[in-house]
Amino acid sequence: MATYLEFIQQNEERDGVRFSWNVWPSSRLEATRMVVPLACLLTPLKERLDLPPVQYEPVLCSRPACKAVLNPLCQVDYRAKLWACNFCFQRNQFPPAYAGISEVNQPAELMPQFSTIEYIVQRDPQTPLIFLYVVDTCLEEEDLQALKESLQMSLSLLPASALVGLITFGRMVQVHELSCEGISKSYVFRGTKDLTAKQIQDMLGLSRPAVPIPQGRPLQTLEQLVVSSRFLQPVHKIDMNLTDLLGELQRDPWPVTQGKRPLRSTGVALSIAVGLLEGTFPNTGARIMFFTGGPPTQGPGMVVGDELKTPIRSWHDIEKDNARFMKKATKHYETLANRSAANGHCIDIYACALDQTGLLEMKCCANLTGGHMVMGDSFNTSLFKQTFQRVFNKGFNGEFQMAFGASLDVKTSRELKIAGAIGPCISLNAKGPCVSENELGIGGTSQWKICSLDPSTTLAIYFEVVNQHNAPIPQGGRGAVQFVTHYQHSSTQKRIRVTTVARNWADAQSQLQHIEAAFDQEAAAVLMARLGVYRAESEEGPDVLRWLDRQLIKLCQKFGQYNKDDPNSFRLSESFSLYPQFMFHLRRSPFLQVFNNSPDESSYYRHHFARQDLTQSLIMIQPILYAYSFHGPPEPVLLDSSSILPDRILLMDTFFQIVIYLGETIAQWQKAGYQDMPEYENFKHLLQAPLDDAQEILQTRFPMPRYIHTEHGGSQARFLLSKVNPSQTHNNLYAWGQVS
Amino acid sequence: PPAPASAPAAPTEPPPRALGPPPLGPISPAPRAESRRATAAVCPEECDVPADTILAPLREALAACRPAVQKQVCDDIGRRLTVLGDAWTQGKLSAPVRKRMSLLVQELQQQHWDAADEIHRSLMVDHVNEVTQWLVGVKRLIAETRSLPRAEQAVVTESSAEAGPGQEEP
Repeated sequence: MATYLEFIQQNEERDGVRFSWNVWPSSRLEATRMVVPLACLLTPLKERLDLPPVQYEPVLCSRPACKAVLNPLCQVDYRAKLWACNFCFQRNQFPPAYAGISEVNQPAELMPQFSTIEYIVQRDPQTPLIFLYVVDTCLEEEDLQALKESLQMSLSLLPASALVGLITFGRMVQVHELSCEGISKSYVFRGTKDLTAKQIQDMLGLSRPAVPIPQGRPLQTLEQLVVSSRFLQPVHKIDMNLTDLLGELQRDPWPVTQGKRPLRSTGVALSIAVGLLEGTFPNTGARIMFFTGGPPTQGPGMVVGDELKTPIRSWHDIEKDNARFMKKATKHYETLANRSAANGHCIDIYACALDQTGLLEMKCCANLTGGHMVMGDSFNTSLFKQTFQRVFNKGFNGEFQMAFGASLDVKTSRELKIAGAIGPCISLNAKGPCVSENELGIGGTSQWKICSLDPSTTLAIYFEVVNQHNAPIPQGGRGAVQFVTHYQHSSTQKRIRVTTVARNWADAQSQLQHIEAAFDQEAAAVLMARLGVYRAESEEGPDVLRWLDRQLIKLCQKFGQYNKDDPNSFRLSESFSLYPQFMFHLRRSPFLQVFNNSPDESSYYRHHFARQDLTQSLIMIQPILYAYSFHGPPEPVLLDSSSILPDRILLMDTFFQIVIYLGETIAQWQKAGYQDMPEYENFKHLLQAPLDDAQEILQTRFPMPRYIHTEHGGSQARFLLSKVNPSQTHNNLYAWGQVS
Repeated sequence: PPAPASAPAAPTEPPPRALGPPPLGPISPAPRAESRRATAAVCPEECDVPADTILAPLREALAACRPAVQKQVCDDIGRRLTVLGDAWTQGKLSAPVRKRMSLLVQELQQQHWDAADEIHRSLMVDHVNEVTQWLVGVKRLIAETRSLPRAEQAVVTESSAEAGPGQEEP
């Protein structure tokens, strides 16, 4: 039986799509018996250096309820210049510009290698990107100084035509008017009272109608568009003044008495930021970059009171229903997040503090809008500084990797319906024939909005097979899905990326082995994991684990080969053999186990899990372990306690941490100083090797992981010990337990 | 009472006899043991460049901008160039910063706007605490100079330098 590994990999490279099943069970009943739903991971803007965008607009199916994009699966009559939509079978006339096409002169979008293709939309005027900084001033001096420098630095990294704005807050909220004149002015708001969008716009003098983004009118110059906003100015004009303004920011002047927390009006600050952008630049790409050094302690959205003796809520408090501010605060931020997302604006959260900052309540701001969430101990750390720099990373082609205002539209052939999506998006409530009544994730729609995304942002999309049992396999034998992503490129150009994929149907009763062979266990693990984490947000922890366990058992019952009452006879085919391992590590992971993590930490881990691509997601579920020793070149080893040996160095990558662990003997040699002796230079190289490999990861990943260097017996060895499968313990080390 | 000899070994003692030394001889060199340190520019021992070598071309560029650019902006840039000069003369800037500024000025003189911009960005990212006050002025100067009409740009080029290989289009 041919393996599908190469097929899976090629498809992922070309289309950015990984399906849980690559041969589809042809009836609803059989599909549910497969246990793992038919679903895919989609990376809408996967980096494709070999895919130059085409300079024309896509050809659409003329049926109003369809509007699918012309793609390689469509039947074409070159003589009559007609094409048949593969989704609704409508026959469409080619537009006049296609008069010259033929079998030997095909347009790109009909060629199979262009199953993924990108179009540039010429007609819309280009509106600038907006970056609104919202900065907490209740920080320690050193911290504030470091943050100020990072912000000043970032001005040099923004696209030159971008607009910038600044709001600072502490006990009060200050909206700074940016001008090139000498005197700096600001509007001050009380931090205790929430305001409606209209009130904010009135108070800031924005109540004359916002300049509408012209459709079909002649292009207005940038200057004309921005004259309506004194609070958002082009960075190339305002950089010197804003640099000085940032340099002059002071700590919040309100004194903080002993035993108290500073009064921080986060809720009102974000409210004003959202309202400001709503009123001046709705429906343009914008980032609200929110920096905070502690929890909200005042006004709407407060998460904890100002008495230090009352600690911020822990999971224990939440379980005992003892978190008095949580519901109200979460609701406040959810409202803001939804408003922001509706306008296409994203909210980033950069939270650096030694204690929790309220990420649990504020997470929807980042999750619904596609904004970043960065969590650190202090702004004066390389973890924050370097992570923040990477927000402005450019790709190989010198272009920024951030994209804005994306909408994803999914179409399916009629045997499939869409159950929902899980990822950094909101629903656009687009009903239609493709939408299933059974919801998984964000359902009830075939369109979602992702306000901010980059080449690694990945959504999980869940389908439902709707064919009746025993209905014949659809004509042509293949089902198809089309993903259309409209978005604003960082150059402000509007683009459309279209991916059309197809897979064979198979009758599960007679061809189960084909379906089995085409199972993608890695994709399936991540797709099930996202479902589990999605459930964990609203269900009790133990219930989610029970659900996950039951799914695993049912899957093994269906696809395992075994003799009754003989556990040693259990076998899974190669395409399933790693799946149970993934589930084992998943149920111990911080995504489903909240023990030992604060609510903020759990929110942070889940935030990143819900948007990373498949490879990174697998690392999060089952961390990678490399071993370095004198016995051979560095090699990956099992994430198991048996991999911890005295004469080895281990490098563990959990995505969030990079842990280097020196085995007992290695540590003793190092303490003895052998690395400094010239005849033992090979030992020096051995010590250096994992450090170099760690650097590669530390320099590229977003967010930058924590770096932990420890050894046998060290307190930080717990990071490694808690992750490995404890196959060897004091209980079974000398007994006849299983061979690891 | 427990024998005092079982106290933990002091750090200066040699490793316990049971622990042999690491194996001798070359192992397959760790894949990336040879470092990627090549990124740091290998610079020949440079003598201390006086501030004026850097400032003069920058002030020339500023002078070329004055007819076309708002007075206030030019004055602001000028103020920041003074801060740069003072910091340089007082030895407050580290060697890498000074080195990169020399390179930046050279690129500016040859009208390699993008290269100069890249150097300014790298200075901002790597040495933000030394440069914020004045570097934004240099950044602005590059931006304003590159948008000047060609005739005025020619003034910026050092007369002795060969006509640059053509400007890089923005």
